[in-house]
Amino acid sequence: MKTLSIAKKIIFRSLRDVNTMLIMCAMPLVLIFVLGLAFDTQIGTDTRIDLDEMHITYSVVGEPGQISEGIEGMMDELLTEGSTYVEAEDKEEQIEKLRTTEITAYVEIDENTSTIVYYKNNKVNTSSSILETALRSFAARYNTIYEIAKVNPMALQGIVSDDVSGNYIEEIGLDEKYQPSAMDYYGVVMAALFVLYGFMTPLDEEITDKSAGMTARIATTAIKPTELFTGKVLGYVTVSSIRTGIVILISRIAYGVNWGDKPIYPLLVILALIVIMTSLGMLLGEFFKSVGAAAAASHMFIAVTAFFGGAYMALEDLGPIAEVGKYFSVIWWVNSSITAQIYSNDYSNMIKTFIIFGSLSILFFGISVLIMRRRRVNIYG
Amino acid sequence: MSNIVEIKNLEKSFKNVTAVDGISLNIKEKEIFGLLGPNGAGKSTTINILCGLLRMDKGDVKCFGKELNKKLREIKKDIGVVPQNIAVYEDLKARENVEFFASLYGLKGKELKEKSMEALEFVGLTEKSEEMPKNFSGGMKRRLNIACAIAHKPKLIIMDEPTVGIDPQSRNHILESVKKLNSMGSTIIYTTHYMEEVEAICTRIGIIDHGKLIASGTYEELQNLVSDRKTIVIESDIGIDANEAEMKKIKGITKIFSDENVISIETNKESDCIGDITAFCRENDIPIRSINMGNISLETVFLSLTGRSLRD
Ligand SMILES: Nc1ncnc2c1ncn2[C@@H]1O[C@H](COP(=O)(O)OP(=O)(O)OP(=O)(O)O)[C@@H](O)[C@H]1O
Ligand SMILES: [Mg+2]
Repeated sequence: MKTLSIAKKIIFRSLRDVNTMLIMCAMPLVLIFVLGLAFDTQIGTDTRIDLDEMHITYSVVGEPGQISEGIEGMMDELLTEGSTYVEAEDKEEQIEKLRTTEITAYVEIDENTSTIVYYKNNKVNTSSSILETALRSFAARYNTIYEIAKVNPMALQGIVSDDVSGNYIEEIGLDEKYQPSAMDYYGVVMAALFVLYGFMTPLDEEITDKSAGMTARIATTAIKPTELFTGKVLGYVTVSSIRTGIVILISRIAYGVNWGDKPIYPLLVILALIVIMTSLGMLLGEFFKSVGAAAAASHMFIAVTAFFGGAYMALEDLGPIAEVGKYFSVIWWVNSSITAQIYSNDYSNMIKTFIIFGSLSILFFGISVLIMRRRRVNIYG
Repeated sequence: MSNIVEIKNLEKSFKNVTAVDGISLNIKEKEIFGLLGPNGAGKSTTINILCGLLRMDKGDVKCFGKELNKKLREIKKDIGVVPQNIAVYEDLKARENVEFFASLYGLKGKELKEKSMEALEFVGLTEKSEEMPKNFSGGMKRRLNIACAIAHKPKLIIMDEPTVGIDPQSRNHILESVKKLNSMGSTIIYTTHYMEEVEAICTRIGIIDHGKLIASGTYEELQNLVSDRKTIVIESDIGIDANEAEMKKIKGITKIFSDENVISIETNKESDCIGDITAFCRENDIPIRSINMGNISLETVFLSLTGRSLRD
């Protein structure tokens, strides 16, 4: 109960602080939008296949009919010279070709169920966007079910398994605002960046509480240090989660930022970031005496972390310093593990991230607890 | 009456200051114990040790008969602390502030709500309960500061200069509520450097200076300690300066000081010369408007014990 009181107090006070709430939610959303648009054409350029050379394969289930003929006619009009649209037998082989970007897309047409499944390599998604749009409007016209399956370029298992259902198929609505990579990239990175900014909340509150005598007053009550500590962690983590949750939700709904087919994993990574930043904020809050000094130091820290995390621009061409520096950036860990999971179904970075963030959080929390237990200062009077 | 607090040879130093230098004192149940001393005397330090914020260097402190160093958390449950500096959240409503602190003493649910509202009513803030303290006057904040410490109905309330920097009206309100809290059964430790407050509400007083307890006792005991004299103040309708020399001849009077129509007479404590004085007035046609048996102020007590004034 006492634990919840502490948490509730922290949450109430933060939610009432409308200015901070606005900055922490509106800023990242604006930045995702602006950067997402500005850098739209720059992320992942190297892997893009030229538009006028598309190689598409397809297969038909059931008797070829209205749908397959319609699509074929459409392809004739759409595809330029040098492109191909050929029937293929072996689906697994086509998927493999997709993975190696030998082909641009693979279309599976089921006349019996009136379904079109569109397999694309996620890395080349912009190149096939025209085709996608065409297929989508075709599907809409013919009232067929249209699905896009993303093939991940690295993972070896998955889509090859016989049923192409569930997680590997993404149904895409006729959402004209859908912005592929840059929006997705900044959607993830900005959410992470503002979790980083969010660590100033515990930092700030711990320092002002100390200087205003609140820490001392709470220490005179019957609450146990463990309850106090747990309450704080709970409160700060909740506050940051609420803010970040709003950002993620709006970015998903309004900009269609891609959080993957299994959003639980990216969200867990973000939560791990929230926890480590809370632990860091609380720890620094024990050391700093003035909010001003703490804020100055934090802004430095955030700027460097953001830079090496690629929060302002993707890191690809930043040379050897960035190559090393990125490992010190929580944003890089978050972004790389989420990207690998969403687009490559690759969990290795994510596991590392959980281990690193987890152990650092325990370390930071541990030091805070030690300081809290030892502290007996005459704060007021 | 049993001792609620027993302090023996308490010592506490900071780097180069000895803040508390061997204080011993007992506080009994149902007392309003005034801890009086100038700035830096060691009042807050003593109190901070008592409520567990500071570790003592030496000494032996018991609260409710329990060893402070061993049963701190148990003891804290029954203490309410009103800190010297206002410690409330400016951005939580008055009610939320009280509820927050009361909940840290284990109150919950309906009881928490009721007792918190009682505490607010007690300090006269019922109407402000849904407002944020950032819009409160200094006096109102002080009262909220108190409400946060009393909602859980502690046996012992420790108040560290609860009236600093507020208007006389709020101060009277607070002094009255301290008396009321006491009459409702709480023992109170009240530190201040305003002797008027101590004179007005405290049942026993400890005077501390430079970390030492110089004297303790009831107001009368303290007066007796320093003085074998009494003061009588007579107010008349006419100027009485002229009679000063003649009057001084009355037996038992040691000193006379007159100012227009007020005359203040210091006498030996044993000699009861009030009859002689009134007779003298009648004989000399001095119409008496009022006679006051003046008391020796704590200021005087402090001055004669330390050779310093309390105010600086
Ligand atoms: N945390 C601290 N570090 C160093 N010195 C301290 C500390 N707290 C108090 N002191 C010193 O100890 C002495 C006693 O201080 P204390 O606060 O107990 O006085 P006080 O009687 O409460 O005075 P005031 O009326 O000003 O509140 C002072 O000289 C003060 O400067
Ligand atoms: Mg003090």
